[in-house]
Amino acid sequence: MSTSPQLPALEVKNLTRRFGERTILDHISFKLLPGETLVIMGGSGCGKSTLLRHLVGLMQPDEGEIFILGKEITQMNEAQLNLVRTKIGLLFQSGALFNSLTVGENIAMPILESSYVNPSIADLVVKMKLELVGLTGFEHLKPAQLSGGMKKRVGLARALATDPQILFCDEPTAGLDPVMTAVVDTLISDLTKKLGITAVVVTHDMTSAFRIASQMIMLFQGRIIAQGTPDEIRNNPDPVLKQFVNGEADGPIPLRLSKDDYLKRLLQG
Amino acid sequence: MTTSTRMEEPVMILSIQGDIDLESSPLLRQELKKISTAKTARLLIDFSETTYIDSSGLATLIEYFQSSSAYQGKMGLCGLSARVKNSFSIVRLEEVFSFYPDLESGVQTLKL
Repeated sequence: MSTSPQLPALEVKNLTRRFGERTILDHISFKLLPGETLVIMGGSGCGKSTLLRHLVGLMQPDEGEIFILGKEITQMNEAQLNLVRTKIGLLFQSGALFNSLTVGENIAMPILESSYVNPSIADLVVKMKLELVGLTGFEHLKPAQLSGGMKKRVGLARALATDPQILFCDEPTAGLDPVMTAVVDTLISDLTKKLGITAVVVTHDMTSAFRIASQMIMLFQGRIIAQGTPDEIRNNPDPVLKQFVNGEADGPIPLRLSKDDYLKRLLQG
Repeated sequence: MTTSTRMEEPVMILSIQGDIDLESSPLLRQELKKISTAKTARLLIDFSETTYIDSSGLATLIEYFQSSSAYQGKMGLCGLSARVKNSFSIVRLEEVFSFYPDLESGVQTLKL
């Protein structure tokens, strides 16, 4: 399980993806060492979730390479990708639980699917993972009986079920109250600092972002416009970055069409 | 992962070498089942050559703890690296198990 300290846990080289004429990801490159937490920031529709989907092999790029634990994944077939996926955990934005299964069965599923461990051992793992996300005793409930924030935490417990070496999270704290946000942030920090897990977190929550990140990147119109440690990001003068980090309505991030474009679209046909 | 056992009367020592993960924890479970079936009274697990333990490994130890408690068996863990110890503490298992810095101190305490 141990990863060589010299080998990046994750490396992306010139990742490019186009949909028709739109370039959604434009020559994205970064490198992440074991134990680091990368926070990916950017406005809605900037390509964050698309980038995450490429990183876990759910989408294929037009150009570029992705190395997970030293292995290039963009040319892998499904069987090879599944092998790599045993070493990663993925928390989707929605939690993506199976509604017909209990919370415990949802969390146990990846363990029982990928190993020969006894179901009684999987049950104990479920209890430990639920404790990690502050949901001890919830294993017998169905997802429909949970709030959105609880579903998200169950999703996180499931992502951690097989003790992944890399954890990918899409908006892990969206919809959580401030206390549970802090619990999830502390958990991610503990996993990275104490166990050496590498985390990639997409978030809009700037408090969380600065609390957990060791590296940050800001995506804007498919490109990385800023990259660095939290301190470097705080001190970066880029006006788009500053507007986003400070959550300001006025700035260079285009929220509205120009008056001419608006009228043209409104009055056309 | 490999395991070996020896007696330092009246304490049985189970040494674990390598990674305890999803692949190897069923083997550890088999070994611990044998030990609990024999109602071993005092077991010290030596982690000084254990490089990693995952949640299935932790769960396997909890299961042994439960079964040995039924016959008042004593259990201790020794020689854990900082990282392996962190795997226990992150899920609050330092509140469940008894830890000893090395084999000698573990044996001495379990002999009492």
